[in-house]
Amino acid sequence: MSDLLVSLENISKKFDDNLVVDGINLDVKRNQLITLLGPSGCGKTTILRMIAGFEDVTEGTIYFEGKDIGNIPAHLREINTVFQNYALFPHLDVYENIAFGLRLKKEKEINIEQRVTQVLEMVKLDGYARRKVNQLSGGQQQRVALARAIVNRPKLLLLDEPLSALDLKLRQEMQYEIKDLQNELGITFIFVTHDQEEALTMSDQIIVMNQGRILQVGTPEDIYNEPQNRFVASFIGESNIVKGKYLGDYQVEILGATFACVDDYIDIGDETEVVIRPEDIEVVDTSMGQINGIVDDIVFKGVHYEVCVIVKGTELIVHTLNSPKVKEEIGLLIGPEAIHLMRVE
Amino acid sequence: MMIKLAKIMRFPLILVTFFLLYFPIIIIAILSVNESQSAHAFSGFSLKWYSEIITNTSLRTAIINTFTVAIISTAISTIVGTTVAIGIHAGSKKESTKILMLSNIPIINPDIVTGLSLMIVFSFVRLRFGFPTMLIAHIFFSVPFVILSVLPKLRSLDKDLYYGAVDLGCTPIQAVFKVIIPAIKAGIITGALIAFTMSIDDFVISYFTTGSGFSNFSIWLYARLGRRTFSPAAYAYNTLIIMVTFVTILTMNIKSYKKREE
Amino acid sequence: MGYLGKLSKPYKWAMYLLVGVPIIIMIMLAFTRTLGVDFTGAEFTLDNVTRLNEQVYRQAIRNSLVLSSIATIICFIIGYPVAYMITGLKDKYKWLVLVMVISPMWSNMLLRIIAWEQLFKPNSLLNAIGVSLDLLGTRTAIVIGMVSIYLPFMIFPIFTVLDKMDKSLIEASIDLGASQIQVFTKVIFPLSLSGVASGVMMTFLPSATAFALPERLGGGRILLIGNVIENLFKRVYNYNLGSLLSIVVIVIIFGAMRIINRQEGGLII
Repeated sequence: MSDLLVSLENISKKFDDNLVVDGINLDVKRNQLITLLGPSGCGKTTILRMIAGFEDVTEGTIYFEGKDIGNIPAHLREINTVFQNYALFPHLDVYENIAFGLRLKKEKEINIEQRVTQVLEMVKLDGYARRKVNQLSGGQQQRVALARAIVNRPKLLLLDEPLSALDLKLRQEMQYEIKDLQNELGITFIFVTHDQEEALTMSDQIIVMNQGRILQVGTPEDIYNEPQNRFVASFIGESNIVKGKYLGDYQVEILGATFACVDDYIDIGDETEVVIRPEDIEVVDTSMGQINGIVDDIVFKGVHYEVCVIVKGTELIVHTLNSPKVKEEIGLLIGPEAIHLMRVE
Repeated sequence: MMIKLAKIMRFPLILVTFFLLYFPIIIIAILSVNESQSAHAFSGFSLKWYSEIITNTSLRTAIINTFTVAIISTAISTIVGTTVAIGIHAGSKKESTKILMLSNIPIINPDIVTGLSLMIVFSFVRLRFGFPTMLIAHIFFSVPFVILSVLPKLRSLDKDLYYGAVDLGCTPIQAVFKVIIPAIKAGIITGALIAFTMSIDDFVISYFTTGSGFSNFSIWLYARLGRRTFSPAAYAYNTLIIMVTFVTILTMNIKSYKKREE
Repeated sequence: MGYLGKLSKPYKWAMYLLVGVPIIIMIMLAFTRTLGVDFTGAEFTLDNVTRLNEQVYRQAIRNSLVLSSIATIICFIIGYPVAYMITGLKDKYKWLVLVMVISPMWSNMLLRIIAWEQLFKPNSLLNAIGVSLDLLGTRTAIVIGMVSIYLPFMIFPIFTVLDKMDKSLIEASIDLGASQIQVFTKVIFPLSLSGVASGVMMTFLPSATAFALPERLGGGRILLIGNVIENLFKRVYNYNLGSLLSIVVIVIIFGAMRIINRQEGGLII
């Protein structure tokens, strides 16, 4: 059995004259939690809907376990979906919602009962079988939607912003539960979200999208530490992006000073954009700083202070545990590991 | 199989529907330009029944009565219905279900039951049957429709709208007139339109609650069915009404279509 | 907004008066013999109840139930597919067709009945094309008239429910393996039942209690309960038996409502 589950080959999607997905190539392996991450309207939901079979592809081919599934209608694909607003059937109770797919497959009653009971337990809803779905809380409805999909033992589960309707605390809780569920089931989840924190927490692999294109594919660490362009860097986490010039020999000039770096794929003398995460900048005495700046503003963030420092007319955001004073001049240290170079687009 | 059958069947079904709905109307239109008073055969084209709408005094009076009752009852039931809807919306849940249940009764009840009930109350309190009783009856069956069109608009309003107005210095009455009513205008207009249409077309309830020779168009018509006093001018009047309706709907559609295009 | 809550109070009392009082009076009338609503010297009697068993009244009630049930079923068979088809149209055409279904209601109902009456006569305009229907005074005539008048009342509520239906529910059922037919039988149809219920009520109740329609199209030979009640109140002035029959109608209506409401979990109105 090949390790590859889904392959998108050169997929494009047009709505009228509007190109929503623009020539995407993507391979998804078995037993993984993949996140499609991007701002709203970037085409991520459309990709999900094409895999599920709700939308035709305008161009390109989708392979599922090596077979072209373009001609297989949605109801025959071994793929299930958790919808954004759950789409629970209001005329059926929790049990019948979950049993819906199994009944269509004409499973034996005893099997249905056993499997429904099992997934109810998995999503921690034992005892809710005969409730009406509109009497459940948002989080409980979410669990029913999950249970209704996984009870069919799909090879691929698609989740379309399933947590967006929940409040923050519940959302974080559900993130872990979905991750655990994926581990337990051993099937691939493709998860669509616009929430970068959610993507970083849950995913084995993140696919960052914008305007119908894939900008970067990688593990959460890759994406966070080595964004390939300005969009990814600014979309994922907080970052300072400053202009610089690569001097060669692991040396880069930023803000009028020369810093050591670990990247070496920029031509010598070329302009570069440098990403520095706020938590990677160290605040020191002016005499010890590689560069100095004036504190412009300080905001207390709970664990740390967010300090805005003006260095030669450029604003840098710095996270530090000790609060300097506004208008005070401070020194800043940036280690080679903290400096990430990107090609200018 | 079933899907295919449904696909084949839907065209004939639409035809049957339009036939059933429009055939009588077309027949009325044909009879309205029929030279002869008899409906048995078409004996020649004539517009004389159209002029008879005005020259036939009893028909003219009945039409004027119809519109008088419709305009007054629509005005009153729109105001009453809107006021009651605001009251229901502001009141407690228990109270509002109670009032809504009561106000749904004339909607659910067949016209004959509503008409009879009102007739019995009116004669029990010894009201003189005629214009006032018919007017009360029309208000009675119109108000629930106004409530039903206004209430959903109120419920979809931001709850803080009223408090926002009061916070900015409005008295409760000012808040209602300056903020709430403009926001639910669409619902009020829909309610008024339904009330007007129902009133113009009503036969059964009017029939049971009128008296002293006060007739609207339907009662005038019913009294003359199969009699020699019947005049095909009734066909002419109805055809005119239908044409006005269609022209209004068409222009409204074209207007909204143009708006969308812009 | 508690201050505004008082606005609906007078209406509530007016409704109690106009809805509650006549029912009490009708019940009193049903078990007495009076002149109109004048109760002076009235005595309790079960005469009216006994008369209810007379052939005329039993037949009228049966006619009402049977003919309007047939009309309602036909309205449903035609109306459901038509409503379903309208929801599938593009927005532009959707509203046009919907308006075309509703606008005949602006034509006077009595006149539309008369139009059918004229066509059902042996001598009619249709002779010009060599057709003579000669249906007047038959049950068929009454049923055709009912369907023609009340069909929009079946189509409209079903359309409203189908049109508002959440598309993602249909996708969800496809996602779970439902074929086209199964999507309809397992999701769309069950979810549209509330619309069907109001459609059934809105066609059955008025057609069962109509009196002008059966009077004209039944040619005086077929009586429905509406004809009998109208006759008792407006022509022979027997308010007592008339009230009893009205109470029978009200009981049947609320019985039907309770059955439909229970099936539907209280979804109508």
